[in-house]
Amino acid sequence: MNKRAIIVVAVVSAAFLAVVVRLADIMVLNHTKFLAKAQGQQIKKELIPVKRGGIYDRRGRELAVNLETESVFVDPAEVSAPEATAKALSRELGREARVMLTKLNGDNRFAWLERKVELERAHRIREMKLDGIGFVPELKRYYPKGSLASHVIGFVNSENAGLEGVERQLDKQLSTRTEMTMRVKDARGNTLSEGAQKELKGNDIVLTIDEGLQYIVEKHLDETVEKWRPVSATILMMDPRTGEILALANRPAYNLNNASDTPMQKLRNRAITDLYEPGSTFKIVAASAALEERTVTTKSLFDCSAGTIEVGGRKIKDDHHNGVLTFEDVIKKSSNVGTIKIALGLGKQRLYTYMKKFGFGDRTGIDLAGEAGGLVRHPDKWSGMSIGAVAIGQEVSVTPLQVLRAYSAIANGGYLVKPYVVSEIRTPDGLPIARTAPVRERVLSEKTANVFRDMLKRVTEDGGTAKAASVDGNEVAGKTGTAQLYDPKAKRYSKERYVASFVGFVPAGDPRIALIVVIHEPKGAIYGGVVAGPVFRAVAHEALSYLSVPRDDQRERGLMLVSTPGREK
Amino acid sequence: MILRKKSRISFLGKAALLSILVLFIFAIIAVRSSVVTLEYQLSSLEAKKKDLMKDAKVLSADRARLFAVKRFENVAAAGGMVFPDRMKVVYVKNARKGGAYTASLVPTAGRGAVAKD
Repeated sequence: MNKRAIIVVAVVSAAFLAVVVRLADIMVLNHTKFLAKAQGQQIKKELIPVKRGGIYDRRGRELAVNLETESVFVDPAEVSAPEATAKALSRELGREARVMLTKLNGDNRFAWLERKVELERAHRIREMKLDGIGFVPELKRYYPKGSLASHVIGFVNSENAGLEGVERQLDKQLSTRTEMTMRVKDARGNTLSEGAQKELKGNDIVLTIDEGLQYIVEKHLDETVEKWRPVSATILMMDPRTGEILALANRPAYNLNNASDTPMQKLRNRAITDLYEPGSTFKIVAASAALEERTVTTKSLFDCSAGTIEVGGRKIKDDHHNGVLTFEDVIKKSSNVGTIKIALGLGKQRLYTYMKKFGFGDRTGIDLAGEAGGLVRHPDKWSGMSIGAVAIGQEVSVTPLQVLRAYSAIANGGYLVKPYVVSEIRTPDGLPIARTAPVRERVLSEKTANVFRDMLKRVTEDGGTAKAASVDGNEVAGKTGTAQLYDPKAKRYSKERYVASFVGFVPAGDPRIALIVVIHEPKGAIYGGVVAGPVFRAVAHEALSYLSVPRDDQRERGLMLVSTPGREK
Repeated sequence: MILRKKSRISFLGKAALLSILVLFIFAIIAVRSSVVTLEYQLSSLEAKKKDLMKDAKVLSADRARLFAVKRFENVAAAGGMVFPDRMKVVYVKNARKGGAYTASLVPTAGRGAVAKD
């Protein structure tokens, strides 16, 4: 071989050797170091977004779901044309251009422009291909029924943490811990692998609320508010046998999809937080206690002809003139004089015992935050006239839920039930992991409850105080309440401001729903029978139809058929 | 002559060996390249699937809104429908468990339209 060839071979071999040595250095000697560097550039750890569990009504209809959205941010250092970008964004995001421009000219490398924008809008912004504008996927809580059952469902903040209602009460169940995933990207930023495709979701909540019944209640509540222009109003519907809350509505209310700026007075769940003096609806305590303790019978007579009664130096009068009334008529006509006489025969200690038995002065334990326990003073702190006042529903403060629960005890044969709104908790796959079992405690004998139920039926008959609450085709048992509001400045009961209420259950013989209507300071009328009674009738009429509860007189009217055996084909 | 034949075979053998080696290396590179291409395609499909699932969730939320009871009533009222009169609703009670049965509005004496069991 000549010299030239040897030199060429040597040079080529040296070049190859250098390449091999370098490869060995990268791939063998410093393999770990370069691998780590490459992975640091290619692999990005990201948190998997956690989807909040859904909230459903008792029939599985969605009340709270998650929406995929994108939040828009800006890196001001990357923005090439701030004015044009601000103008384009302001059109799409509905914000003033100068506000946008301030953010685009900011000093930080990151600023939110808009959180949780709908995908369609985000897509349009993306199509503009604006420099420095980026997107972060985020989940937004969406309430497809708007303001329906707002005080039960509640809402979340921008970080999807529950702030009110069930969203807050069961926040831990509805959310779950996030996990990391690893996304692999190439040198150009293209994604090579999305990492573990896991969906993280919290547990789903099934409520006792029925969307249909809730809508019926809210529809009639809105009509009532429009007619009587009260300060506030509440309707509660419950299954008296189990304590399941079928509907709960307050006015004022708010739209769950725009809840962030809602004033506090609209957020209050007045059905369980607001206290009021129940007035005549409280007469159930003294009357049923007297029956149970056998200090009276249904045929006992009470002379109410004087029209007033003096208790502890205070005169309390009847709204209408009554003569001698039977025990049943005392309730039917809602006589204050008669009720106080019953209470005097019972005694303050036993009256107090039955107030506590009926749950007054204590929280019901409903699974919603903010419940008030009410105010019931111990007899040791009663004045001479307290027994008269308490018997007719003054000097005590209760919530609408407490009153409804007390009447449910009459409806279901003497049991005080524990109300609840959460029926079941399910895994994202639909497996139930917790179910609420009804809790009840006997407070009256079945006999007393049944007798009292028959008496309450007469309240909605001719001569009763709540004829307007009667439902065509089904017997209603209930009681009206017309309570004066106490004026702390004048230190006496107001003559202008009242709370009108009606509480009852239907069908009286086999109650399916118990309902209370409480209207605070109606304008134009004050009586429970006039203001609240018709609302009860309207709601009950539609609710019974919705629940397919037949009329009590279905047989007589030929509206019920009984099957006859047929022939198999 | 034998020597020339031997050197020819040796040259062909080396050439074949070299070709196989090159092909082998090329095959490895081609397979790895295909894998990377497939990874990109998979990633692209996953991204598409994600987008479609997002759309599905939006549609699901829209469906929930459209199925609101309040909306049903408004649509029904606009179409001239009214809340059912309870006097026009007939209940059929199946007194016997299981099996076929018939029921009719045949009136019986003194009891209105009630079928006998």
